[in-house]
Amino acid sequence: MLFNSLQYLVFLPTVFFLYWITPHKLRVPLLLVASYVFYMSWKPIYGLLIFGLTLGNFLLVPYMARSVERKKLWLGIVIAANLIILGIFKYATFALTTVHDGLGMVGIDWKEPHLSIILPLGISFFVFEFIHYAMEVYRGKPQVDSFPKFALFASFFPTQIAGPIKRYQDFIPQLDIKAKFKWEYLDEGMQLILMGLAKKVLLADNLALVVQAGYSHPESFSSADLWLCTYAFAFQIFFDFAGYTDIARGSAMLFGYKVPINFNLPYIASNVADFWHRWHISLSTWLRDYLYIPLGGSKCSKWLNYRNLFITMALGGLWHGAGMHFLLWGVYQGVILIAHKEYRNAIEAVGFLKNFAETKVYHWLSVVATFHLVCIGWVFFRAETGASAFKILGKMAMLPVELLNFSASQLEILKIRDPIIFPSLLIILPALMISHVVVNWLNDKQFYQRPPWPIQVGVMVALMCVLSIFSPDSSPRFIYFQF
Amino acid sequence: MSSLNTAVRPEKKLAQSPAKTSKKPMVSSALAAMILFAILNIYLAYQNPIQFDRYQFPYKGWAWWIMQDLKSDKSPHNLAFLGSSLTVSALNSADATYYNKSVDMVYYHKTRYFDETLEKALGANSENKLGFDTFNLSTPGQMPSDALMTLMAMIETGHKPDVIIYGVAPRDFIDSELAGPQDTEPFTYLSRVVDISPFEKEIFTAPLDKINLALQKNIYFYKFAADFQMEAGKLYKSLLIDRLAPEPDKSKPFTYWDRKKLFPEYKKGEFHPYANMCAPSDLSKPMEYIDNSIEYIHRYKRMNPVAFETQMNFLARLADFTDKNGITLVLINMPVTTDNLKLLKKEYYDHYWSRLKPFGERENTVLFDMNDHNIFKKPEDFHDGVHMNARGGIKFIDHLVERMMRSPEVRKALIQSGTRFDLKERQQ
Repeated sequence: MLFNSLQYLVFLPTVFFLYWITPHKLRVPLLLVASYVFYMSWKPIYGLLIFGLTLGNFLLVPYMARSVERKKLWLGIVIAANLIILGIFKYATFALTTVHDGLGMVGIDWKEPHLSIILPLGISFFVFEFIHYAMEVYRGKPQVDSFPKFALFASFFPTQIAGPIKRYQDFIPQLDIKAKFKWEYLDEGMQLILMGLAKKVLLADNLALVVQAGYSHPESFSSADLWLCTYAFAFQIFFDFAGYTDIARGSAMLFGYKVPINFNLPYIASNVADFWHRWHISLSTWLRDYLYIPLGGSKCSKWLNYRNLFITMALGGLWHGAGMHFLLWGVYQGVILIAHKEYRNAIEAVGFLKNFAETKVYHWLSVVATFHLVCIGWVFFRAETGASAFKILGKMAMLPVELLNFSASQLEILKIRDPIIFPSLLIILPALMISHVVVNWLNDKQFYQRPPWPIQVGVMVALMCVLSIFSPDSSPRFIYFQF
Repeated sequence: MSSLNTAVRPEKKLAQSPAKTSKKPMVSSALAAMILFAILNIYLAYQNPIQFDRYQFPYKGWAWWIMQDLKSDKSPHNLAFLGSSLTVSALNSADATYYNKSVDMVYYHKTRYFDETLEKALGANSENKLGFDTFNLSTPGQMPSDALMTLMAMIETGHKPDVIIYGVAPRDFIDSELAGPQDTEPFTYLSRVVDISPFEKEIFTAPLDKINLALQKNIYFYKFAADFQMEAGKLYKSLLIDRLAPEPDKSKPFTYWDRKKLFPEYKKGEFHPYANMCAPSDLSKPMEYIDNSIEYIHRYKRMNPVAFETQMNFLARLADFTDKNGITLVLINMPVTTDNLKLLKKEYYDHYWSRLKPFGERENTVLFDMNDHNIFKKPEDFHDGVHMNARGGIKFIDHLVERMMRSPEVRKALIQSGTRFDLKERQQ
């Protein structure tokens, strides 16, 4: 079931109503049933997969916790079991194709078996939540004794398909609170849901048309066009995923639950490390806590630290999808994070540069540079293959040459008048970039979190009207559903 | 190891309750917004302050082009054809070849060869003044539900034919690729033009479809979503785009064909002038035959009894509608190749025919079974398994007119209609 579907428009209010009229002790079972209905509405058989994984982890983790001498071994077994399941469903075909291609390069013609596996929705997210649980219990944190609560932690429908990746210490205790209905839940929940749908339907879906055209036919566009398409993708993926997260958080809030935030104005990051503190926060903190730190983190030699960073980001890239271009994206992130560390050390070593780095001018230059570095990474992410990414990047690299004799007639996007989003890019992209700065300013003034009541009402009414017109039911699925 | 249920509490207070607002409002903002939205809808529904053009639509499909033509066409049409691509192909190929002129199927809704053959068969001359001007309402993929709505829409525009000739084939009732009447492009567009409330219950059977319909009826902005989209687009274009991002070089415009190449999924079924041309064929030479069995294997894969019955009911509604409006309905079981029929289970075809046959016994309805493999043969008369080529089209029209002449009921209706028809008003 998609958040932007009529099904969900019926499902969510129904569960909301039932939840608040149900006695507290029956609320967890109710949400659990609702979550399985939500999941199984897509492919009923995969309900067994999530149930099996939940049961397996629920039974194995206490076994690990009780073990004294073989605790580490049991942790390894739990993590391996989760990763094997993820590997089979997500990476088996990719692995076989990679082996086939590798053998082909040395002249061996091997026919790989054909696997027709459909990736279960959300598997990467709930597998990461199980691994987090096992790791935390291994580190001495308490277990969850109640199976329904543990099962709801994994399957909670607002976060089931594309996160945010929850922490059980934050989520499970909320299930114990005997909450009474508060209008604030509805207010905050509806605001988030409407804002999320608007981000998805009005911005992400329209930008997707531009990106699709540019990335599937780069030969039809100029270098400047491809830069604009890449900026468009930067905002498409942001609004698609941030929109999804808002709906997830808003839906959870309707039941009085808080789930973690995922974004904090990522495109005003002043360096790549800052970007990763602002982008897909629940994933980056997971990678930090359960991959980077266990590998040794930064408390080791410089080169080992760089190795850890590189491995973490490369695997983080591969987590997004079974494709060489995702791996390349992860590798690129690792490389620019390492390069940033070196750059920072170099700046700090030179007195006047260190002083300049503290100025506002430097800060905003860094924001622009970081945005462009991130955009280059998005080319790997969005391109269908690694080769296609390099082809697009090659063409984008010709921008300085193109700018020497630049005229508006070179912009193909200006010639395309239908869909209207193409010429709109010249207006929308600067507006979106400025919006990040404006929202940041409003956040500083604490306006955005607490807008005056009439503005809240006005915005909600306006969004209801606009969303009725640009019906979300006809919009495509969210990008992060594929991961 | 202690249990989390008792031992762990949320790290932040935020985890338990939503963000506090500085001043507690009197009424929930969400509740107020919902009430305001409802009031706004009721007001707009009753006042109806904006008059939208129901014939306009952002998506220019076959039905859209037909309606634009009908709306602007002031000349009378005493006959009309309904049917799917089988009819479109036969009639257009015949005209293009017989008059040796390519026809643009987006604009061309005539059946000149048919009209002339009919006039000749009825002995029209300077003394026996009778004439026909047939409007071809058939569109690719048209099912009985679409056909009924198309005919109703034709009458809405002030054109009321005396005789309707409707070509049907098994695909119109048994198509695994289509879920329901509401899934077609003509339905989406024509439901704006005609009143569908009499058969809503038949179309919207799934609970979600019913909910969607209720929302459409009760939410003003949702009901007129396409109109608002078009108006907003125009306003946005004139206020912002034309001023801030004007078209740079109009000498090399971005064409419909460029668009199809770059984003084929965008307005996928939209048609464009010159995109669907029917060229004349050389009848002295063998014509190309394309095997489209794979497509029909999928289409005929399974017969959905509900979809079948729904479409049969729409055919019955169409027959009722023509009867009520004093229109004679000529129903034709269209010719298809034996190869194509082999892809369809025999019991499916038998069932189809057994349900079609009783239509011939109705008042004001005549049924012709023209699926005669001794007359229409593969490959000489067909372009593929179901579509007739120019030779087949001409043969089809000749045989159809012959059958019509042999039917006293149809002949009478045609003479009455042809005699009433004012030849001076015929569109040139």
